[in-house]
Amino acid sequence: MNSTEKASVIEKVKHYGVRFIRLQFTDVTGILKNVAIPVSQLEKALNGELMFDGSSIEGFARIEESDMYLIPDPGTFAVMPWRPASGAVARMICDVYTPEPNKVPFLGDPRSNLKRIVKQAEDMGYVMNAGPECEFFLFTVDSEGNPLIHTQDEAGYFDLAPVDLGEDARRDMVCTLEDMGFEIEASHHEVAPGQHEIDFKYGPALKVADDIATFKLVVRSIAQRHGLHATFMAKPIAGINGSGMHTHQSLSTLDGKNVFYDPDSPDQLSDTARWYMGGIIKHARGMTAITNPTVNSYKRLVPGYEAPVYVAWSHQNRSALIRIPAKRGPSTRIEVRHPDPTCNPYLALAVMLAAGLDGIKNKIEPPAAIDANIYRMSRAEREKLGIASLPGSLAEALQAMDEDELIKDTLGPHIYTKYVESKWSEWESYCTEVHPWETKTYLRKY
Amino acid sequence: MNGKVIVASAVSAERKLIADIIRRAGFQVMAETSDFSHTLRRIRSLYCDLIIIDKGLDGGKGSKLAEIVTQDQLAAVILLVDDDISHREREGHYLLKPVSSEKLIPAVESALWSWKRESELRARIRKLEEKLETRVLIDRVKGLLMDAHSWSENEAHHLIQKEAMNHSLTLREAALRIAERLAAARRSSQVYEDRSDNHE
Repeated sequence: MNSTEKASVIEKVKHYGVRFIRLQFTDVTGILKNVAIPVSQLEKALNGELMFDGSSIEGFARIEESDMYLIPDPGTFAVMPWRPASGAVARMICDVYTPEPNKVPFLGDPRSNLKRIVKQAEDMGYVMNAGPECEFFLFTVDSEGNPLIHTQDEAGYFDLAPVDLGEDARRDMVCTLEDMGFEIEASHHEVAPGQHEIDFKYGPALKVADDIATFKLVVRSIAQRHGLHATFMAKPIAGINGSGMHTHQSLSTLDGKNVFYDPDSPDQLSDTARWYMGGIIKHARGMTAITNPTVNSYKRLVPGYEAPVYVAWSHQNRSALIRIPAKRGPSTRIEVRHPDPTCNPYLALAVMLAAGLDGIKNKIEPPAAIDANIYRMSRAEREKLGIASLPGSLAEALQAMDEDELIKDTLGPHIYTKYVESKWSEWESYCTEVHPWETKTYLRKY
Repeated sequence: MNGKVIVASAVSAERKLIADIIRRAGFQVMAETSDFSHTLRRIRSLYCDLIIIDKGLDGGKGSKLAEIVTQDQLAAVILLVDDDISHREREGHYLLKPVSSEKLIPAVESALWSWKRESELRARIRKLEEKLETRVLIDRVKGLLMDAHSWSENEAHHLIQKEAMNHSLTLREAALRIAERLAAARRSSQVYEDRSDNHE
């Protein structure tokens, strides 16, 4: 960190009267962690001299290498707007470094890992731009403070005043995010009752991953202040639409020219764009354990809703994995539709980018575009067209990832091992549990 | 004095007592609630002037609720506390339990009055901040105009006024428009200069 960046952070801390600073990072499963420090420790933190105990963090180090450094990224400095003006709280997102004598980026840190993949893209002359569309549900909370599965819209039925609490909360979320420097492009009620979406402006991969982590924190905190619970769970209620995190993405040259656009080709998509898609399609099954990381994620990826099930691309149809939005020129991009907001944004963007780059390196041609509704095709028709399905469960996705060397390399051995360990144990715990569906179906019958 | 009040406490007898006292004194009780989240939902969907919050609530702390209501400037707050009162809780209006009519009504009235005064002051501060920002902006644009055209301050001010009158804009909007125009003009002249550099 250079001294002007440091000075600018110290200046801002003085200006806003900040008393505490939260140093944030994520574990391998994408859960935001933070170490709060008083302002007196700021100088030390900015010099990268602050250590924390990483051994209790999911997927981090073993007990014998538990002391890690937190190196804050001054560009991520933001004041938490829902704290009082006196004694404000600010945050900075950090990279995790190993202890002396090496003091290098820690291989288990998802953010440092994404930086590595972004660097690979840069070496090839590309910058990835990503724009996520995060969906979430707002539920009410019972008298004990536990979230209920009732959506807020239904609960509003008994309220005296004709006020939609969800709308109100969402407006507050948008204002808070704007105060923190987000450019909000759209915010609206989604298909399902109680479901909302807030879209913010696209940006370079690392910034967008930081933004997604912050976004989730803000949405949940503001919901709580409205007596609601916000959840990013992929499919909270069977039978109605789940929550996705469709990710728009494109590559540009280092000086900012969109390389997905080619005015001379019939669909105005460049070779690079097609190969990038080819790479995503090739590795789609292998990356799903990262982009859709929970047992519940696979209950969203079923036919009949707007979530993709089949590995294909389309100019319009939303049943396909990749849709090409109609915009061209500098806005030319592809929309990858299977990720859901439970994913670790750093890992998800890393695997998508790496898969796309692999497509470009090896000039992988995607299959022909499918503009028909794939849900209505028979199995035989799909096989004839060579359309594969996404994994049907977390277990299948983990197996598919195990067979995909590129995805494993992208995560690096440390993250891969820890991630798979944690996910298999999640799967096993799910399998051994007796679920309400089972008792409902079998208890009387047998 | 009148006002709309929400009463939040986990103890139903206390809630009833307070609501009763409040009603007798001529205030309107909008809702009686017992838990944290439900109270927040009520506060945000019913327009009210004052919330009386017991420190003890189901599913969350009353003091935390008071903090949210105060920070988001939703209404006046009176926090009902026991003897063990923390430094933080002393920052707002608070009342020691047990509650009686003699203690509660004056507290309600003073909380409502100071809420009213606070709201007025906030509105005034907001207005003054806007005015100050406009002043600074106009001064800056005047400076730009004086530099660009070697005008006097009066001439520059006159141009901004004219722009505002001609297009039915506020002075602030007019100044912004002129600033954008000046910036655009400077950009195009820069491009021109860059090109002439290339020629040389």
